[in-house]
Amino acid sequence: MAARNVLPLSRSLLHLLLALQEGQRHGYAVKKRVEELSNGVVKMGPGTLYTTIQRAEEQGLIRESAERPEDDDQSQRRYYELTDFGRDALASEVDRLGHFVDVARTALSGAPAK
Amino acid sequence: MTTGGGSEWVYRLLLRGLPRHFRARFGPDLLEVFREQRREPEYRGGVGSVRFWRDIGVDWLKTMVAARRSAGGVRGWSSPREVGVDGTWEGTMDEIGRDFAFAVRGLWRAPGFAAVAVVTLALGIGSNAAIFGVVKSVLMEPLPYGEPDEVVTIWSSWTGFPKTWVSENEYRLYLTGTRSFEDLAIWNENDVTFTDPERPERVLGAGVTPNLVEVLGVDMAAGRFFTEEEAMRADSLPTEAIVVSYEAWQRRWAGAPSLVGRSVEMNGRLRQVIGVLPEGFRLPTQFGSFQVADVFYPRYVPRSMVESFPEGGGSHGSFVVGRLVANATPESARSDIEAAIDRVRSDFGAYPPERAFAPLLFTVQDDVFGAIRPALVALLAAVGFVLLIACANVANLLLARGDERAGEFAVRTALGAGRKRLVRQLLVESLVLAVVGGLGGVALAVGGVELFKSLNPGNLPRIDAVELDGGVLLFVVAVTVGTAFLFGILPALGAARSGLHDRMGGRGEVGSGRPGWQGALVVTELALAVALVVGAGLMARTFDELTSIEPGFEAGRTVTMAVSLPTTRYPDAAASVDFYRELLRRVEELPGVESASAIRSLPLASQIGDWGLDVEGYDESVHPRAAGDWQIASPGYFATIGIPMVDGRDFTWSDDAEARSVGIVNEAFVRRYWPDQNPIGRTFAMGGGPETTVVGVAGDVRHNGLTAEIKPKFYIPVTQWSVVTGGNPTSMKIVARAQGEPAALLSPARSVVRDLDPSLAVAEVYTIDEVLTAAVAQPRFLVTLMGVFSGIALLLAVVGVYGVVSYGVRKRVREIGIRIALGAGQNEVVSLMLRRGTTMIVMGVAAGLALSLLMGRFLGSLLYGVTPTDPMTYALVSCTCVGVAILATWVPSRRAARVDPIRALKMD
Repeated sequence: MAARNVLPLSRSLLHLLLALQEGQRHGYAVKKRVEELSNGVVKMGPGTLYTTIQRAEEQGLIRESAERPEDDDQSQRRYYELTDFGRDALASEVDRLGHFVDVARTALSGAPAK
Repeated sequence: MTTGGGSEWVYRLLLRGLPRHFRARFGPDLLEVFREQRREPEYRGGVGSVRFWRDIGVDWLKTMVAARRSAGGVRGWSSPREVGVDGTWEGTMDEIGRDFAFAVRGLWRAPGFAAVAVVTLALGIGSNAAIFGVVKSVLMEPLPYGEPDEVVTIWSSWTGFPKTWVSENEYRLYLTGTRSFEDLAIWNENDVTFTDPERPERVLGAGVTPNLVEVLGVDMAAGRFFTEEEAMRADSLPTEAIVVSYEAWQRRWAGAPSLVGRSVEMNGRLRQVIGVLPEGFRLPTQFGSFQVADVFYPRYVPRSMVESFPEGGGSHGSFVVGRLVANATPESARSDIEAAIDRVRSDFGAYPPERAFAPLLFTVQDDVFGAIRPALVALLAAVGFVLLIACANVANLLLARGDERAGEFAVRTALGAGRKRLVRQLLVESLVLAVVGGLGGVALAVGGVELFKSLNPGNLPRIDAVELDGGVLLFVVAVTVGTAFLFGILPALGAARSGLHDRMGGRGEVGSGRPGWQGALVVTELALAVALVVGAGLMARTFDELTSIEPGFEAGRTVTMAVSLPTTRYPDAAASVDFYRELLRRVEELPGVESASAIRSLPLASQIGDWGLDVEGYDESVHPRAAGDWQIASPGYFATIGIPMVDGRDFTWSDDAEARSVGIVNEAFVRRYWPDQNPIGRTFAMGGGPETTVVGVAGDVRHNGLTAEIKPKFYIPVTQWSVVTGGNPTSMKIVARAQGEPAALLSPARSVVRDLDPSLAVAEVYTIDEVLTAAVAQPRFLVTLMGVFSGIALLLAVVGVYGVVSYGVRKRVREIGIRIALGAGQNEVVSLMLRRGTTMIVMGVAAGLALSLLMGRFLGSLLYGVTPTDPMTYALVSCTCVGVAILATWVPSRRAARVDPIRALKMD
């Protein structure tokens, strides 16, 4: 599957991937990180969090990691990490958004729209 | 509900509604995130709880839809055969989950219907949540005492005093002559002043026996309470010990830990703070009052019986609280104290029968909440009615919608959906409506509670503590589920029952459009609404009666404030009189002041008690003993507050300590003691004091309450108080009349006091209009809320009538078309349509009036000047309700008359 097929990413999916590109995390840690990254704007309840995770898994963007950090003693916790495809998809999405921002900036600064 | 533990089961239950595959994979992870989220700081406290469950609810609804979409296969509702084939609980839950997603989408596609239903339910659930929240905080939380069930209060009653103070002798009698109490404590209240010149403050103080905290079962927040030794030697100690309230500690000393052990200046003398009472501590008499004791000082009362018991029991001015022994009940304790009183009756000849003395005993819970309970129960019933009406309305909407969806149901039945399956699907739809309505209701309730607080009826105990906590939310969940069932079951069963074959044909048959259930629901709604409107009408009449009572004085343009003088600096009456005279002179000089005066007890703002009298020419061997409510007044008081002088003259400053002792009495005094005689020049004496000559008669004034009996009252000039009683009038209320806006006087009057003596504090500063407003605060509060609820009820009921009639018109368009084609006139059509509506209305209103008659007696204790069966109210309410309802019928009926027969007949 080419990364373009899953674009554009939904807001929660984008934040999920962004949180995971820093390394593996478990569910609640993802939720907290997403809140930080978005300055508290994106708040995921438990259900939203795991439907997003489920979707990302189905699309092959993330997977459950086989290893877990040694300092975590809660053995039942599941950790997630980005797949290579997920990393590509995130990069493409950021490019796409970057392009959009460029266009929008130019338009707002008064240059004639093309 | 401060941790996840108490509420986790609710979430577990919610999870059951999610698709099985999703739950099987993520269930434990969801719970863990739920728990972590519950601990986040922004979700702490009452408001936090509300926010938390709102967020969880929204998240859950989104998940319902998203998890299913993500499952890949199933979109929309699936054929009934397709799901639940395994027949297990899990399978069924999964099906219900599917029903939910389907219901959400279905309602999304019918936004008009969904919005009306949700708003209706939100009104019903919200008003219930708000009132339940208040009832829970006010009535259901135990009082902050240890084992509050064992705590009782003791009072006295006399003719003219249904519930009043206890004397120290009675306290000693109950302490020694009964077996029902582990211990009894006694206290009295007094105004005291922190005389620190930096920040003088007048507060309420209480002189309490050292056993008070044990009797009430209270732990100190800091330091300790008094010892018996401290109480006994209080006067001889160089610095008397005091205990302060938690609130005063925070307000005055910013919660400084070093306060315990520190010396503070009170009433001009240094006292040592030895302890702080816990947060929210109140004496049992102070739950409903604005003024709460901030300072406690020790009071010594010997724990032994008096040698000779006085005839009247002694001076009544204290409050008594006790703790029952393990095997005593309030009833047994009551007969115990009654027996003790009977003993002093026979042993000492105390309490002659004509004074009708009786001791009273209440559990502290009854004492604190007894007065407000009927009002809250009435409100709870009112919101219950509103909810029932809302349910009936939504049920009607669903019935109508069910008819429109008959084709859909028929197709599904044809495809093999069982009746159970359809009923469940429809109930789930109801539940979704109820849940969304419930969320809206919570939002309304948050606003409602704020409204409630702003309407504070004045004597509502613990109103500040009202919040929407976990218990209220649990109540909302229960009400929501119950509501969904209540309004959903009828339409669900109805829709499932209707046969396949009359539905699939689908042609609107000429018929009456299902009169049965819809009509019954509308009749019920109307009946409930009428009963509520009658209740509100009776409250409105009560309020009207109360506000039309003449208080006997002229409230407009007058202000009042309280000043008390410490005896350290004003040791005798001469010093106090000089101070007040100078103060009044300076206040009168202020621009905009018409006159200024001083009085001991302000009518309707404080309670007044009586003093035994010897009245000239009044024979106590044939009549009850003479007594009168006592007042101390400065010259000019009557003119300032607007009490008319009926006869004789007012006091003057020349009525001083050297002059003949004079007094003024009220009209009730003359009626009781000197009927048909000229009172001017006659005399009375206060319990053994010098003879006082009456120089004037003043008009009667309502004092202890707008509806309280007007008793004989006498006024002694402030200048002669010490001559008559030997007392020092240190605590007076200043009353000033303004030429213009009275509130403008408050601040300059304060400055005058400060200029005269900077260590004095001024308290209870308000306009007398505010005093009058406070006197009718509770009826105003009730009439406002009953008005709001009955308004909502009537509106919903009328919407119900309108909906059913206009639905009937829609269903009968073909029939009407035929009638018009055959020559029926407009009026005939309108009256045909009106007839059915009118029958419903008449039945509904009649049932409502019957219901009101049944319920009226529960309102009895809340009414004044109007009987629960007041014909005026009933007639007015009937006319209004019938009128509004007929209007709601007439509008769609008119539409029927304008039906175009050609179009009607061509209609599918």
